[in-house]
Amino acid sequence: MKLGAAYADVRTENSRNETILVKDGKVEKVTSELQQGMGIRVLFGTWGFASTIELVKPAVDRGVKTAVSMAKAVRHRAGGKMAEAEVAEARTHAGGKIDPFEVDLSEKIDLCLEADRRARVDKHVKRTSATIAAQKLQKLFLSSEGARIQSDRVITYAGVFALAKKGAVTEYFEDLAGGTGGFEIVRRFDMSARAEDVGRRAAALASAKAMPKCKLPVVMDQDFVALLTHEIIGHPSEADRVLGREAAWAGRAWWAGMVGRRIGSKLLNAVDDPRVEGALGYYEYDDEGVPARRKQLIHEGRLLEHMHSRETAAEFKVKPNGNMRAQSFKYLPLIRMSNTFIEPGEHKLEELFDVKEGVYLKGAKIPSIDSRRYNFQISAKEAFLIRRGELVGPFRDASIMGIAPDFFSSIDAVGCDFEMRPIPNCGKGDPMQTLHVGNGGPHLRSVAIVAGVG
Amino acid sequence: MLEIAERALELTKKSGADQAEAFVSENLVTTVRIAASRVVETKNVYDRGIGLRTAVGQKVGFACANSFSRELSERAVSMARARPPNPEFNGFPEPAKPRKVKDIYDRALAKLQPARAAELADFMLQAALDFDRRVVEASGALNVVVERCAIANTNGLAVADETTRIFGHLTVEARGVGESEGATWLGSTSLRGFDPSEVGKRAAQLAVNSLSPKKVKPGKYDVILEPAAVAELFYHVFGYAVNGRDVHDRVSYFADKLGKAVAVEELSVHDWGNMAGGLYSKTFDDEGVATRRTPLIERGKLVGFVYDRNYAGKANKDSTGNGLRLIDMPGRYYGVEPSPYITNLAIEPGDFKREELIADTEEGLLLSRIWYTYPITPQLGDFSTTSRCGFLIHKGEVVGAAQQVRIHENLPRLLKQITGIADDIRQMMPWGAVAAICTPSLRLSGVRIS
Repeated sequence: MKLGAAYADVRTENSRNETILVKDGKVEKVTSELQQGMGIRVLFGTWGFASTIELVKPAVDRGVKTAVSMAKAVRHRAGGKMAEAEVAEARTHAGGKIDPFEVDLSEKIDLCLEADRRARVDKHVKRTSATIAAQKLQKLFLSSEGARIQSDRVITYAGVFALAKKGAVTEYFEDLAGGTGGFEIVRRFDMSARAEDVGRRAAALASAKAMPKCKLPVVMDQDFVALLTHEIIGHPSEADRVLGREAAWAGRAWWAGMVGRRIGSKLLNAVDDPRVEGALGYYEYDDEGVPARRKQLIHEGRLLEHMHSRETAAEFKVKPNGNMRAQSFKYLPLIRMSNTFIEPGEHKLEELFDVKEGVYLKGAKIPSIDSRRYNFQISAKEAFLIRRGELVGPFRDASIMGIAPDFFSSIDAVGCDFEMRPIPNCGKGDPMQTLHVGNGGPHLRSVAIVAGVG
Repeated sequence: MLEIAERALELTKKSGADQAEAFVSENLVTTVRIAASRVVETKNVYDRGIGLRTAVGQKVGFACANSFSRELSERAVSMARARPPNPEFNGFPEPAKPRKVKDIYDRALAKLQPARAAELADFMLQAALDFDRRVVEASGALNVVVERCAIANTNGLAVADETTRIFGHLTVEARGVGESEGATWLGSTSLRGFDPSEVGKRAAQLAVNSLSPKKVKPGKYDVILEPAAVAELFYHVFGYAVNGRDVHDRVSYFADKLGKAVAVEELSVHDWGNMAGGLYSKTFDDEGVATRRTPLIERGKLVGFVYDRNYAGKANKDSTGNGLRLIDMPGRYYGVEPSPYITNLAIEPGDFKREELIADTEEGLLLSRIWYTYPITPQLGDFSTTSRCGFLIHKGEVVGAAQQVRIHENLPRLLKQITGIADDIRQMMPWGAVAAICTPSLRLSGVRIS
């Protein structure tokens, strides 16, 4: 501040990561990573940012000077107004029950070896893997306004994968559990049982017929709805996209300027909430020190609120709502979703299946979304035909194509069976930042084009 | 950096390792970000650290940190001891003296001051805003990357490398009858090879040309993909198919196709890790193996894949010098173990001029850029994408902008439907990519548009 900044903050971090990967019966990776450092952000009309990995005074002083010189490098420094936010002093902890780093390394390796073995259910399963990963992160946020927030958090996740080949058909299936918490997440997941199921489903898909192209009611399970919500509700709700500031990277939002207007069925309610305990996108304060809170993004089909930084909140003339996040101290924070989900409704699963003809999509695979999050295609892990309430299948290689407002308007049934899913690799920014988020929802029914193989 | 690596090796041996490898990396990324026609951020991402791979017999462990200490050496050895032996561990590379690759490091770029970087970003922006009165807004960034690394192993290998690159990209919005968008990306390994005004002008030109788009009827079309669109398609849908890891894992649609015809005879593709001036060229990979030119497709026939030592061993092949330690952030990263990655994917140019490809197309589409292109069924090569800057071709002429279309296609099928390869080679890097694609425009027939 002595150097003339309008505002400054620093984030000091200390992290420990561990990853175990077993592949095809062999231990492929056992890795351990320690990191510490500080990110320094200063506002001189434009933002300047620098990071340092040495937490000693001379290095921090150098970091501050670099951040200031970065901001002052710009000739025309205007804008950069921040909305008022609570100046917090807090200490938070989200550690779970069992510290994953206290669990013996050999036990974790054995769990992965056993799960990998159990995934090989028959001779058609050609590739398998099992992984356990954990992160312990301690953060200290200080701002020139007087905020001081200390937080620590543990993340644990586990995954299993199987690939099967029958004749010319190759198919794979995977399952992942993860969240903010300790090793109890791995124990609950029951890796061996999940691995066996994953192996069976991969083998079944390799014998399955390809999904025929059709336009029918589609019922999507929670895992599919999680990715759908991530792509066509979470991302376009980021205020920097809405303002067109992400046009060169992540894209824009088709619903820019439509707050208060109907964008979908009255059954559609969507929320972003960083404080969902146990979810992968859990936090209590964002990386600007703003208290995290629940945001009703869509209420009964009407667009209500976006996710904000203090800067975009000032432009929208609203209160900041705590969505600025950085991958680590090395990066400048940007607007990111936390745990974004569709709220549960009242329908039972059998009511969702109560259609003359339809398609049931289970598990999300890979998305392709246009730059305004308007035109989308998402592939499913497996699909079934619904005929008078009965499931026929599985079918392989199904995906749905849709136009977001049409798809939202066609939602005619929302299940009561809500689930959150972990998404560990959400990318945004320049340089790219990969972040942990949570997404979820209940079973959902709408109408879309079901595409088969390309 | 090499001294740190060698000191780390000594300590690791004292901690009980039979074999060890130390990898030290240092990256400096300067980014000037433009949003809503003004510079909004100037940032400096600095990262340095050390990764240690250790072997106790056939047990292999990995530990890393962003500061070196005896604790790191001990942790790396304890990670190795905790695991069962890996019978496939094939040791670390023998010493080699790879030839220096030309034009991959520029001192002027390495020393570029933030104020000069901000000035170059401003040139980019002003060139776009001044291009045409219909240009209303521009967003984008200028990035300067300086990466350095050193590797030492207990076989006596000790090498160091440094590279630089600068790239700028701009997305420009124009308003006339309706709105449109144009985007351009340019990059170079040297300051003198980078023209910021060209980024702004090309993006603005595309935005203005994209005004008043016409609807495209669903159906099959001849489609000319310009270099940025080919780069997006090949990075996301071809890159993994020639990666030795994905071939081993059978996620590649090329897994059983080695030696077979997989494309038209006119198509040849290489991975060229030591290409002079290549945006992802390096003297050696992140295990110390010299980079090289690896043929992947020769005259339509699949002839090779890219490997690190681990996956080369599984396939009974030699490493192709593609064992890299990469994450999403630009630069080599000490915090992960090596894995196979493409470097500079080079598609050989054809005999056509770009204009000849257009003139030779009766009804079709010219796509300058495609967006969010992912293999939705990777083992088949099925992908889905949307156009971002597209134009209609009628009787050999570009007759106006085309509205956005979705393409749900199969790349292995399209590789056999290439009907023209132009000579307009450009080096491109899709957003977030960790490799460069050096490509001309391609014309594909019978592409299904919805």
